[in-house]
Amino acid sequence: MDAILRELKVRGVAHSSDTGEMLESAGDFDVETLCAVASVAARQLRDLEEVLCAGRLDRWYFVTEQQAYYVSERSGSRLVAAGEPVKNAEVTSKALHRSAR
Amino acid sequence: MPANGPSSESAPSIFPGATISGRFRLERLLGRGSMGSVWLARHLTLDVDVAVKFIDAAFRDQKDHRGRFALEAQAAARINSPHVVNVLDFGAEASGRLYIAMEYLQGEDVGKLLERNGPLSPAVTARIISHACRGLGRAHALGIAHRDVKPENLFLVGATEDDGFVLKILDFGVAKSSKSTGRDFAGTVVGQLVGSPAYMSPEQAHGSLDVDFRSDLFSLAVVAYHCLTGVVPFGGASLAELLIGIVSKDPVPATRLAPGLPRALEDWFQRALDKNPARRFGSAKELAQAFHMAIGRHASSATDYSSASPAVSARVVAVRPTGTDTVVQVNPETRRLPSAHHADVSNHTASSGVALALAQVAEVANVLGVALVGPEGEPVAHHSSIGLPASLFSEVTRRAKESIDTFESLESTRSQSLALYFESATVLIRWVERHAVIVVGTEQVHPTVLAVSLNAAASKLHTLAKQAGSAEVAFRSTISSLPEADFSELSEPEPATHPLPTDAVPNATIARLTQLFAKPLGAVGRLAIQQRLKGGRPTLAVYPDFVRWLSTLIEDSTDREEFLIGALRLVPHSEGTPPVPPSAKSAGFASAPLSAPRLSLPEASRPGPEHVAPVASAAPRSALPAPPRPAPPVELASPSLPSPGATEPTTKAKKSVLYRGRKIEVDE
Repeated sequence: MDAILRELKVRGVAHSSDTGEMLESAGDFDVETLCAVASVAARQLRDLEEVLCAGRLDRWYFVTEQQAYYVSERSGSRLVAAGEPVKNAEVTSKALHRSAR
Repeated sequence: MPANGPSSESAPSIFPGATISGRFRLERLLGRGSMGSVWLARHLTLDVDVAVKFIDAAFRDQKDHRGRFALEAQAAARINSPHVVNVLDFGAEASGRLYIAMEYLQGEDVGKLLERNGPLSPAVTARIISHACRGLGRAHALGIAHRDVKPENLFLVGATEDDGFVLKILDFGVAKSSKSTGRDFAGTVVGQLVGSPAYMSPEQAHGSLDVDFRSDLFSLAVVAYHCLTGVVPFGGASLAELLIGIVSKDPVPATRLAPGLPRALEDWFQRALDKNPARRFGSAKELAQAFHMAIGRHASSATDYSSASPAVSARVVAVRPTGTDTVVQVNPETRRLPSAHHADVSNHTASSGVALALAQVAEVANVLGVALVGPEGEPVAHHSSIGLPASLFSEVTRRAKESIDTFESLESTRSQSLALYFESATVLIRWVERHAVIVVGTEQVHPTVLAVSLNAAASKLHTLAKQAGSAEVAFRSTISSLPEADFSELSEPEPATHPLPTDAVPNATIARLTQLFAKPLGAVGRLAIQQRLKGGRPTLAVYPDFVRWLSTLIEDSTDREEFLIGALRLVPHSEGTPPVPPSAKSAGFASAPLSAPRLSLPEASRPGPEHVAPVASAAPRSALPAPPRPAPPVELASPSLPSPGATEPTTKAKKSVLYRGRKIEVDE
């Protein structure tokens, strides 16, 4: 987790179960809440798989004025990260997804 | 099979109880195909039922039929898909008769289901299309085209009543491989018809050897049409008539035969049944996805194309394996359908600035559609190259917003953007001024290019909103984002000149035409005109064809008629002018033929001195119905060209609109 934190230059990173339980983490962010929130959001976002007939949701990220949240979905778990909003969140999202694999 | 040919069951080696190659024991005859018979047999080692297909004695010595039979086995074996019948063995029995041993399927083919049931529901049809596309997609990836896709070759295993079936493609007997070294699975020659006539593609009907996977996609679209409407799109009293229909006629819109179908299906059929293979869907997957999106809320879990992943949603109430597939059932009670106002496309209120911003995103490669969705989830404008309905964008935006609202427990700042990467689609949403710009692309879309393009569009929309003082005004007013120069051009009539047929249509006319077209179609209408004008303005000679083409994009017949009449009045003409020289045909527009029929109003109903420009002979895809007011007769006449004396109408109805706090009068 520490290696991912350094590579992604984010404030916090965590490995969570599919139900939102934090399994391991690194950084100074409130990752426990992040894991729970990401779990709820992911469950709803997965509904879009059916709406769009688009197959499995692999990864997603969400940017606000203050934060950027990155999620990489895995079978039965997910990797989540939070950091400063950056210009190209796509790069961080991809890097997290690579780490998850 | 030939009528008087020897029957396979009369041959001594093929009878109930006979053992084939020491592996199978024949149980009973299941049916007959064009080249042979199919038997239920028991695999003696595995102790399972199998289906054994024999080539008839009449064909077994014919080299091409033997080759076709052998290659059918090879093709099916190579594809190895749960949606293509499995080939277990291939060989020759004692007398030299060739056989193929396949998995034994229980159920019925789509042809029989249609006979028994009549038209099928969109959900069942979607599952048929979805599974067929998975099987065909696998075959196409290997360079194999089936070339005989028809209901009888699509077999449904399991219960059809509850959508719990799995489709298997049968009979690769006329398949063709593009990757084999000159080998044609059917051994066809030029001019020979291969396939079942009613489901043939135009290229097959032409007897062309240049038939690839796109032919299968056309045939599958014919199957879809048959499933949804109960009839095939092309018919005729004779084979010749049928083939002429396939190569040259447009089918009756499916929504006319089955009025409950979503309008978006029209665009899907238009593309899937295009005579030109290059304009059809680029792959089986693309065709299936577009179909699902076109039927929208009519789809069910049974229509899932790309995966059958279990338990992805709280709404999933059952997951059960069916053979090699998994069926996911969804509780329909919990399915959230778009509300009525979401289903309406309200893009008629969008400004041209919005249209331009969305066009920028729509042009990115592999983008399937883009939309601007309002704060209440209402569609403001949308554009989709594959006919995705506006309601889909609203639905996705609403659900995505609900999902990320859970992040409020972490912070309370506003959302800026959300990116979702699915197995076979990419969705990006960017919020601007409480509105959402949403773009849906394939999984192949370049994420960075798309993000940059979306940010640019968002920035443009933000500027528009800032300039107008309100997003509501900037995004929705029909004139708010037009530069002021355009207003002066609109308010000043064109000077009376002597236009030639080769002259380009004046800018002011194009501006008025855009206004007229935007009335029923809004931003999409503007986009259509802008894209069409990229190659330059049409000449006066081809203007009627241009207008006619535009009118085919308007679904509502009254709106279409109103637009056509209004648009044709914008360019004056008179009788007896010289014919159009070939040079008048500008690139990108078909010239009006010299013997074109002309739509004209009776003298009594002609408003003032205005005349109506000619309409080309080829009827638009959707024929114009009789208008509600005194019906303008359609008469045949030579085309008319602009009269030297004719001028733009001098008196026009005006309306006042508010633009940046000022009251401005514009043409009605």
